Amino acid sequence: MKQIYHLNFALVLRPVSLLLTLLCGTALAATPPQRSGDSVLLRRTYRVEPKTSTDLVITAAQLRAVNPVNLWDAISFYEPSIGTAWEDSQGSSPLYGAGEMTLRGSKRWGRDEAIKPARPVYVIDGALVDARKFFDMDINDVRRIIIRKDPVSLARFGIRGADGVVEMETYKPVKGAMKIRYCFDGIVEWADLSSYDLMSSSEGIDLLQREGLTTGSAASMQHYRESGVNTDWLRELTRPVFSHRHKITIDGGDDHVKYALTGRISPANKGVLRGSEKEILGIGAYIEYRYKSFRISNELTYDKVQTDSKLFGSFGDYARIPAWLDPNDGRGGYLKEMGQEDDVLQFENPLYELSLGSYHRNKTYSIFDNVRLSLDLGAGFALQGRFSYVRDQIRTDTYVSPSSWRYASYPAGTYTGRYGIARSATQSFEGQLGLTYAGRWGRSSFGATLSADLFSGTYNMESYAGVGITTDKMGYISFTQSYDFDTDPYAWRYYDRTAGGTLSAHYAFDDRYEVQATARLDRSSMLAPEKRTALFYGLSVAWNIAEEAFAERAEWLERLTLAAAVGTSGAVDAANSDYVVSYSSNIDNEYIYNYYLLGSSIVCMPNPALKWRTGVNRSLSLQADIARRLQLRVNYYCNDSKDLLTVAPLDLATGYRYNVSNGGRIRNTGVEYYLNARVYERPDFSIALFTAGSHNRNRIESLPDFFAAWYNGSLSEEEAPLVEGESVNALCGVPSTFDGTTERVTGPSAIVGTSEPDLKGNFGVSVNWRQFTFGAAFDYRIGGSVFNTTLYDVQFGDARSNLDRRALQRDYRHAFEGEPVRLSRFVERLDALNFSSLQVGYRFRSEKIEKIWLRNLALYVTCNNLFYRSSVDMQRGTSYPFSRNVTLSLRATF
Amino acid sequence: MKKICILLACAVSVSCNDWFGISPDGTSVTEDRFFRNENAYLNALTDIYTQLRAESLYGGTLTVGEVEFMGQNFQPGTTRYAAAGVLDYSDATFAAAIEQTYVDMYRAIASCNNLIDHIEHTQVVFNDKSRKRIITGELYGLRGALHFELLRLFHPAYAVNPNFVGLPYMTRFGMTASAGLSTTAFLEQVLNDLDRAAKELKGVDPIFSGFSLSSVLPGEIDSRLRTFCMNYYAVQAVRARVCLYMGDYPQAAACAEEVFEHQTLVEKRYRLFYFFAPGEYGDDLSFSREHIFGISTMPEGFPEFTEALYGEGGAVVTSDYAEIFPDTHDTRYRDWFDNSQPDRVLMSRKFGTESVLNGYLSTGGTENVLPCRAPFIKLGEVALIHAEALARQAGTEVATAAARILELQQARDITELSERLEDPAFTCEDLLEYVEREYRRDFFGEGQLFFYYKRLNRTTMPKSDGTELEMTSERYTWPIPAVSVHANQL
Repeated sequence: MKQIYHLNFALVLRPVSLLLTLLCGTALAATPPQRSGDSVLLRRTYRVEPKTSTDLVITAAQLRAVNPVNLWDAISFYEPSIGTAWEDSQGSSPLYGAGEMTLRGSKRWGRDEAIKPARPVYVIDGALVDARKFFDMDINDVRRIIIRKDPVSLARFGIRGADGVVEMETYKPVKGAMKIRYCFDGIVEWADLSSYDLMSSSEGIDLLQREGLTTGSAASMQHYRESGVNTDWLRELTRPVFSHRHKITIDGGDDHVKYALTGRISPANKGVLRGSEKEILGIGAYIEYRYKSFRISNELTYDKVQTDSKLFGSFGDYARIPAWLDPNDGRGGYLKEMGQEDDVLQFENPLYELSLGSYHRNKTYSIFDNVRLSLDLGAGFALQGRFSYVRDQIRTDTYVSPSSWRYASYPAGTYTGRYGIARSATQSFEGQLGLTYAGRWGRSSFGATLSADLFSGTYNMESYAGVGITTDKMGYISFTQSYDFDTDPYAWRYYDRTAGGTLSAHYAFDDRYEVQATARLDRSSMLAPEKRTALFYGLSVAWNIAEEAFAERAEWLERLTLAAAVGTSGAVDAANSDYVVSYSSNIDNEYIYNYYLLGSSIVCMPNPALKWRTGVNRSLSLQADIARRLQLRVNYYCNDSKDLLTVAPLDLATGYRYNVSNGGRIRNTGVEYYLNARVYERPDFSIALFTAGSHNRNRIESLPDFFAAWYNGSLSEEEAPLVEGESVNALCGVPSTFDGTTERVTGPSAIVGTSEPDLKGNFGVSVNWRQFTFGAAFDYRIGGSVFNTTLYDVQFGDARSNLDRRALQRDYRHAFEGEPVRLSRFVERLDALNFSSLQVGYRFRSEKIEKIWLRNLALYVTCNNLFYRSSVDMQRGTSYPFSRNVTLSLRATF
Repeated sequence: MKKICILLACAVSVSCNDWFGISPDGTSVTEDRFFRNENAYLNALTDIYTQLRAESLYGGTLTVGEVEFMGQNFQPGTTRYAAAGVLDYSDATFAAAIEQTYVDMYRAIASCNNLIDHIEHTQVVFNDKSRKRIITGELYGLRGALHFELLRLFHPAYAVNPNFVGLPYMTRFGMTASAGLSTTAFLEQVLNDLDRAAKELKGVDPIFSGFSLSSVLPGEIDSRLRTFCMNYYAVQAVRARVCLYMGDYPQAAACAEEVFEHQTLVEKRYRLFYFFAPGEYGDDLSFSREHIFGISTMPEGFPEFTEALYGEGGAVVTSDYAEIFPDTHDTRYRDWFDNSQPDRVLMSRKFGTESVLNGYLSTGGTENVLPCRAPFIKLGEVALIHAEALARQAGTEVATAAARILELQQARDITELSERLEDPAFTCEDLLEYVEREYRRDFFGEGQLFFYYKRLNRTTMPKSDGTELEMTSERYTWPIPAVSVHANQL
């Protein structure tokens, strides 16, 4: 999985190794006009650049053109096949750990996905890292991002590849005198509350009256009506914020030694939701030594990221507080509890909570060390090695002040206030050794890589909590009087020990035909004892039509490549107790009353022959470059996810009805396109357009009957049943009729849509004019459905809390017969357009800035998420609001 | 680099499997690590007993639940047991209950099997050799006894068809079940296991010397609690039950006789089980001191479940209740039932929250009142087995055969049989009628009466509403559940 590095090394070592760059894929999306045209130059020289991989490469310039700060936003903008489930509710939260995403469709059953979302593998310079570490990297350090989707690329990742791979290559210093780079970003951010349209105080009271309800009594209603209070809770809880980030890099070097030192800080940056804060501190050192054909480098970084929040409820919950409530106690302070004495509902006052010492704090310390070696053995052979050590420590502290409203109803004498501690740490060692060979003979060129690697990771977590804190400011566990009775101390520890080997070979003839093959063998502690060794393969063929004799005359046809690939990769979904007999203690079930005679029982019937989940990926791709003006790439893929985790029936005489097994198949079929056109090109003025999109269709191809019955027999309200032929992302709803006065359910819940869009993608323009650059980028989605939770609230929400304004209209809030259900009319088609970024930049002429010792100076203004339009009127950002921002970036090199 | 490579290769090849075999820690631990300690075996054994008190096993279905209503001691108060009362196996609720019992019983057996596998191959040296034998013995005893329970539910009576092929005899934990066996072959396995159990327990089971007053350290086997486990006498009692079922009367009588040995070997105050004389039992209304093996319950479990079932508004006793108890002196009549409404007699006292076990000490040494327990096998049944086995053998003196029933009746404060014995014309044949009477009196709420009728393949059963229930071998036999239809139950 990691020979990508070998290849990169090879690239530096010997030009002939360049043929192996095919493994690194290609960049086609929004490439700004290239000045030097490096790749073209190389291509002309060696005429070997098959570039048949369907992996997507995003360059640093592209990333920064859409978002100079947020790596996650930038990556998910460019890769339309990324799907996320959390974004709609998490909004622009700086606290949320991004990284849960699907590449090219969902590959598991919906419930498995909800319990533990699949994550692609994240890799920084060859080392496996946690998603959090990946996205906390500074975007200015990124040289390029490679999103691996190609069957052959994924096969190389073996047991880890099935959910996709996102790789980062970082900038390395180049030869030259010492340079000092300084990056500054100043960000103004404000909440985007446009999706919220809540009732005002008087509207809320009107609705209550109309429905024959009161807040508690007629007197209380009268009080609210007369008080004239109309609190806009959303505005009270959000704020415009200014934050800033700084980064300094010092680098340079000569033929033998290169070095770089970096430091970055973004101190106590506030989020738009009051009480939220994020701070990043990072330092790094890189050194490289080269002697003849031997090279060694070491990169060491240390990062500390701290996030804070003070409110424990979700933003959507606070939006439900009625506008008629006054947060002030009239004496200059805040009320702890809002509502008249005889009111049915009493409300928490978030403004009061914000004034307390409560907090939820998360600190992450991470150390990353990566050593790389390479040795050119001559005659086309090269040896590469890598060793990395990654350690993350996460400390989470949650303090709920004893003065908090949540303890208001506790009787005197009970413990109030709670301090919870969770500590987790991950540590991994990884070593890799590879031998590559590259050569050519006549019109043939060929290469091979043989590598072995070893990975050992330890992950642990422990948490405990204490209760009984006397005063607000005594916020530490040492002040608690007892363990929390409601949460037992909890801990786990698990290991990932994997060893593997890869053999890849590649052969190209006359630059026209090319074949590459890969085999990967993994042995891992995460696999069941009887299936501990896993084999994967990948194979691709490509045909470069533009090089054919018959295409010679078509001078304008720079390139036309057809490629087909097939490959397998794996993923481990099962837990250890699924395949080994495990015992757990029946702590709450002693055998003899008061004798503390506890039993230990077998957790479940294990399946020692449990297999990993296999992804069988197939793709076809067409790449065309017409007159270097129009670049098009179209990928078609048909990926099967098979041997999923299911349950299979057992003979009842085994003592168990069923156990975990493998079965079922989910197919994701889709098309992706990337189009990049340079519509106008003059030395001082150029205009380029780009667009990309992806369509994915998810279908359950086979579904074991017993498993389907088991799964569908215990569906929660939100879950759609698994049905062969339907998508795993299906949405279901209950049909109903409305006769003008009353709405009635007319049938059982049925599948009414899928959450996957028909088409999702981006488009934009970039303009270069003299020293100015200008860019605009949009992302869109067409089709697919969403369950409109706001409509559900409008229909069924309690009128004593605040609702969307549509609740006032009888068209939306019907008289309904029966218990609230998820009606099919709440499932709506979702088309959306988001103006993701607008960027204006100015690069100073070097002769002008030389006087102030500057070599380079550029200024950018980037605006993100300026507007969002969608066909569904639904509250977005229910956990954390979305935000809009304007960033002023300065990049200076001394 | 090459050296590193060689070193790495060596390291990998030498300790490869250990290196990959690492297991996580969390809420569970893998068997190999779990069984590295002597106490683990006791813990895993305790779990099996805990499993037995499930509502689908001795905490319900097999004692106070379905099987009891099948035996016609009670008229079902709720619709839940209506189908069991008329033995209608086509009823979905009843079928689901049967399936659950089947799975849970085999689950307990599976737990035994995994534990047997480990204790027989373990490298762990036990501090006390006898402890290992006791645990092994209990496991074999449980495996045999539980299999027999399944057999008498799901196979036709031995007397009807000893060649019926049905249930597998499970001796290995795993995903596959062994092939079904004929009743004869199955019983052979049951007896093998019980023999093995007796062999292991013989001489080392603390029950032989009665309970000791010395305190017990955590992890030690508490002699006071032996009747909460499959002890030596329980094994013999089950063996007597099995032999009687097979019609092997001499063996049955011999095993039963051996159980009574406890009464002579141990001084009464150290005895673990004995007949409760009137006035001795206090609040122990289920006469738990007569249990040779009973399953402990939790206050909120079995007692409350039984209270709901047989308490106020619950199941009413069979309509021939008055005929069963002609003598109202009978302690069972007086202490088990609420006779205040003659037309609605309830068994509200035998099991229930009021009925408790006294005389136990908690680990702290203080008096510990335990909730009533579910009997697995008790002295009364052994007495009846003894009498029946002797009576059915030619040439037995009727007085010898009746001896144990006389003891039982004496404890119940009735003189019915002793009066009849004075009649010189009283034969062993006549004694069998008294055995049946006692079967009808002594097992209210214990689920044993049904098996009495089944064993003898009675063509009619006196139904709880006063009518007669036509019985066939098919009606006596629970259908073996095929594939799980109730997919969502664990």
